[in-house]
Amino acid sequence: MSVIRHPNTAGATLTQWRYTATGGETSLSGTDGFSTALSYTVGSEQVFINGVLLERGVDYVATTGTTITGLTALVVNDIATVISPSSFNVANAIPKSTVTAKGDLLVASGASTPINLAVGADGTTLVANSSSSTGVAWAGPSVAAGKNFLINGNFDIWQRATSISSTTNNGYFAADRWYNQLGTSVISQQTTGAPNGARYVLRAASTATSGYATTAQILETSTTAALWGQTVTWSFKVRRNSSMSSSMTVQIDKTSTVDGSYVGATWTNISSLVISNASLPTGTGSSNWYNAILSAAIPNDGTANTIRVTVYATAGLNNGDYYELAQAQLEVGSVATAFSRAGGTLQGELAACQRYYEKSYPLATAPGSTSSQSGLVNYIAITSSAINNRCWVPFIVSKRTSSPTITIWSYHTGASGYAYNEGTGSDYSIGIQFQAERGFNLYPTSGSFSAGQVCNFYYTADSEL
Amino acid sequence: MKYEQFTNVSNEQYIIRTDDAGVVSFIPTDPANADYQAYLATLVSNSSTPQAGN
Repeated sequence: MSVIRHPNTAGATLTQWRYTATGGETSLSGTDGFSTALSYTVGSEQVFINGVLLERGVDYVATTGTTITGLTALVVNDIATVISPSSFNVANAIPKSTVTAKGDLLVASGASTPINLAVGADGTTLVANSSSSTGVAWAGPSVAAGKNFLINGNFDIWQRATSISSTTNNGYFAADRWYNQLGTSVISQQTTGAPNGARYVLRAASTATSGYATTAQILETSTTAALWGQTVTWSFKVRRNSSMSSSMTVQIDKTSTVDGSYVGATWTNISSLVISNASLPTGTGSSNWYNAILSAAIPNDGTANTIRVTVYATAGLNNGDYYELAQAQLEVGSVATAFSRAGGTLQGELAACQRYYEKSYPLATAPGSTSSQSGLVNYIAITSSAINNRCWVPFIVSKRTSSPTITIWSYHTGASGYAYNEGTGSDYSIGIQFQAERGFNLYPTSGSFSAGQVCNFYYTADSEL
Repeated sequence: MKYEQFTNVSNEQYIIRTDDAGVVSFIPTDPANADYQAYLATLVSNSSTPQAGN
């Protein structure tokens, strides 16, 4: 045996095994004449007969690390030599043990001093940081307005109501931009155990056997267009209470209808996911959430003019069952990143919601309330002719369409379809003369008026899909 | 849900919807309006029962 050391001081060694044949051997193994046992690294060995290098797999077989087989029978006094390198060990190399976990990075704390930087939390970004010993640090997650294509994904805005109970009804009842399909169930705003970064979560609870509650959001065509031809990922947090036995189904759907609505379009599923019941946490802490993630390729062929994301209990709900949702996000790419509001800020999110629905009431006041003067729209009657006492009402935010649904509420009685004449102390019925993205024109259809009388009302404008 | 037709002072058509809670709303007869689409759907069939996930 001889050892050939690489010129590098801590380099590799080559182990040589040499054997003199007695004739007829077709395999090699055991200890050579220099007391060295045959041992080689499979695939790295070299086998020579009388100085001629053999071809692995053709002239011999070497798969065990301790034997060579498949040789042409040796002739007496043939010299068989097997050479194999030891593990490679270069001086000053970085030991692989420096990194210890998935995502770890090698960084330098100084000249010739590489160290391990443990992977950061989900959604964080590596940034230069001179105060860090390594000169870099994990930061964020950053808030990026526009990354999230779902408006009100954090369930911050509840203009219509913070709780709605329904026997059988479909529509936009509670959290802005979220459509609910309800059967003997309640949608409500909750705060307990909201995940980090969220104040509210949406709860869908059944109040009877065979209840159901679908929660969905529809992206208008102008928004969907930014997703055509791309992979998108829908992510959200979900959990259930202990009595709920159903799994959850998650879908991304499409329709060729431009600005398709929930009931006015025919929807086709693109991608779906079933979350097993056992996967859904039943705790109520801020960390008791399952991270649901579903990706889909959005076609650019005219079949996906409108996109819808949907989640519901697969098998329906029994009385008392509920599920909760938080931090919903739809983003470009196949990876779910840290949650970020579509509007970036709360005011940005509110304005994004108001493009689809707004009210003159204060945000915390449900439409129909008579308890607040804030948000009241006033105008002065100018003539005794009812239909000529008209009022232009500008919207807070331009609407998605020029034809939103308008509801008028009497300031004094809270009755819908009426405004209130302070001068006569009575409600009067109203009509809509015309409307646009920027506002609408209201007029009395009947009633007694005198010039100078103060008329007032609240309104809601709905331009949802 | 109850729907009535309404012609305004400008001779334009609206749908007046009274929902199950008694709330009265003005729906323009514009196909871009989702509430109008829902109204049209009731003209096709009044027997559809919502199903979870549809």
